[in-house]
Amino acid sequence: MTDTTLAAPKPVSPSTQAWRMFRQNHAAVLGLAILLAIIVISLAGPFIYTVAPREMVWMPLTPPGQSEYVLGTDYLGRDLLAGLINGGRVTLAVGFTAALITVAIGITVGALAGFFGGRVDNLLMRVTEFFQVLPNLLFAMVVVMLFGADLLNISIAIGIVSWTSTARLTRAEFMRIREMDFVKAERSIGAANGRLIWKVILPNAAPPLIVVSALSIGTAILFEAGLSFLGLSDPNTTSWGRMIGDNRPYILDSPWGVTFPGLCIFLTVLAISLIGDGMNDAFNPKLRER
Amino acid sequence: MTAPLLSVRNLEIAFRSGRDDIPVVRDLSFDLGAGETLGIVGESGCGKSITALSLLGLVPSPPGRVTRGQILFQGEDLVQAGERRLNEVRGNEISMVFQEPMTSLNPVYTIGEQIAETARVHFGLSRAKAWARAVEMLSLVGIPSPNRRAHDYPHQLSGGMRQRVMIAIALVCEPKILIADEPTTALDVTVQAQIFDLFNDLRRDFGAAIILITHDIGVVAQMTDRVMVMYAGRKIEEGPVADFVRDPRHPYTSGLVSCIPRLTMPPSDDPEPLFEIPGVVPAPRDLNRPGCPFAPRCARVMPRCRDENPGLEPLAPGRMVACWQEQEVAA
Repeated sequence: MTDTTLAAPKPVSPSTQAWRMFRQNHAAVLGLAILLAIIVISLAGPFIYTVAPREMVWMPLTPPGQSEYVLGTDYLGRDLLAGLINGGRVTLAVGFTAALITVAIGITVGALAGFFGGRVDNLLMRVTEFFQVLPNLLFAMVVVMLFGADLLNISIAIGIVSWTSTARLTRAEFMRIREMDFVKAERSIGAANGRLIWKVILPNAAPPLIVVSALSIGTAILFEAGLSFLGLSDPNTTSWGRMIGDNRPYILDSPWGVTFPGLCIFLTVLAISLIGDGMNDAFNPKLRER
Repeated sequence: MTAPLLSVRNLEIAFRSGRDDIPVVRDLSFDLGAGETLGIVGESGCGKSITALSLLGLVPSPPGRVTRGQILFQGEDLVQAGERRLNEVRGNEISMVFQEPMTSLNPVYTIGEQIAETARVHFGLSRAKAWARAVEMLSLVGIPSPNRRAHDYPHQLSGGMRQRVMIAIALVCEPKILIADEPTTALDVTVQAQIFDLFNDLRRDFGAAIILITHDIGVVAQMTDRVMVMYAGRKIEEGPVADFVRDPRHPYTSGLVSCIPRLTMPPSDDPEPLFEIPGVVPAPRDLNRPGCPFAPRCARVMPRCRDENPGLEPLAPGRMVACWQEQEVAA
């Protein structure tokens, strides 16, 4: 007989438990690997592959494999591979920044509305509805055209048209958790509203919010691609969306000019979706083994 | 005589329903001395819990509201106090243990963190000191190997252990009053006895006054000094616990006492049916008509009971009852 009295199970934090679940989901792990690879290539790539992405280096519209520039060149003779590597930085930066703005506005509005209810809720939800009924793309285009097409403005424009669903989800979670016994118990030992919102309710609402936040990165990347495609991108930078937009007129002569950046966007968004799915399962206590 | 620690005066709590305020607690007055244990008894829905919440300023609002009266804590009226002041009182001066230990702990923090956080917020302790204090509290409420258990999450503990943790959180700031709202209803009988032993120890060690809300007369008899019986939002009888059990005066109180099943009843093939009080507590909305609220269920009802509501009349020092019959006998 082994000694069972000393073998008390080591306490496992909820996040450790979620990570264990996540690791069992192969698709999610694959997604994470793809995303990490894309991030590493985008960050380190420009130092290793030093061709300037905006210089004309070869004959325009060279197909892949016919020069030292393996993926070929675009209509101005710029190296596509260098564009992809450098564009990844911009695309990811805009994606993450816009997602951060989305989540910051969405969670704040949703938390306040759901926690306080009543008039505060009424007011904030009317504001949310106002943003919901705006045509997203059109509004973002107006913002970018008004304030200038630099990366921050583009991120802000994407953020302010996409926070509404995060706000609604946060509000619903807060309204559910607000009524729970442990919130009442925290109140009874003198927890003020700020503490209840940020330290008591928010951590309990975190799982679904983390999932939508992750997915909103993918949405933001697609949105940025859409804006760039329409020509609303920072003219001083290269992004995947802009590459697609630039090479669009030559799609019949040199399809690789739009195919490669499109593939990059597809892979990134797919990876993020897989990760989001995996997190959704990992945080779902019904699927979690005890 | 010194002023009591807590003095509730003519408290009325109402809930808004449509356009009306429906009172659920009416004209309630009681005192609590330092170190005393007061039992509040009554069936479900007679205003015990909402009274307890009102002491902490936690009546759910809207729709609830204290519409009249005072709650004097060391001379300060808590009904008038602002939210900031109430947050100081909560936990520090008055704290509460709830009925549901299974759901009253935050599932995302370890129990040590939860106790330490309370200590940190109220005393401004450093993290290390607060943690040490948490471990100390855990051992005080009888949790074995507190050093290790402090790292546990609530779902890793049994109901009885969780209730001990709740008590530890409630007591970490050494409040002057501990309100326990049916603290053992969700627990096994054996665990219940342990928890009450713990209450007795803590009262001795900390000198806290305890308000024990329950519908279990046995618990009241064992634990409290004084008992207050509530029915339909009113106090209908109050007295020392010995008198309450031996000589209940209000027909409702004697009903409650008779409802306790006795193990000493001889086993037989044709067991005596358990005593019950017929009917249910009237809804607060139905209480605006005249007469004693208990009259429809009372075995000893008299014509007068249906027309006039009896006020509380003292029978002896510290003993009062709201019943026409008793008052007429006394007169």
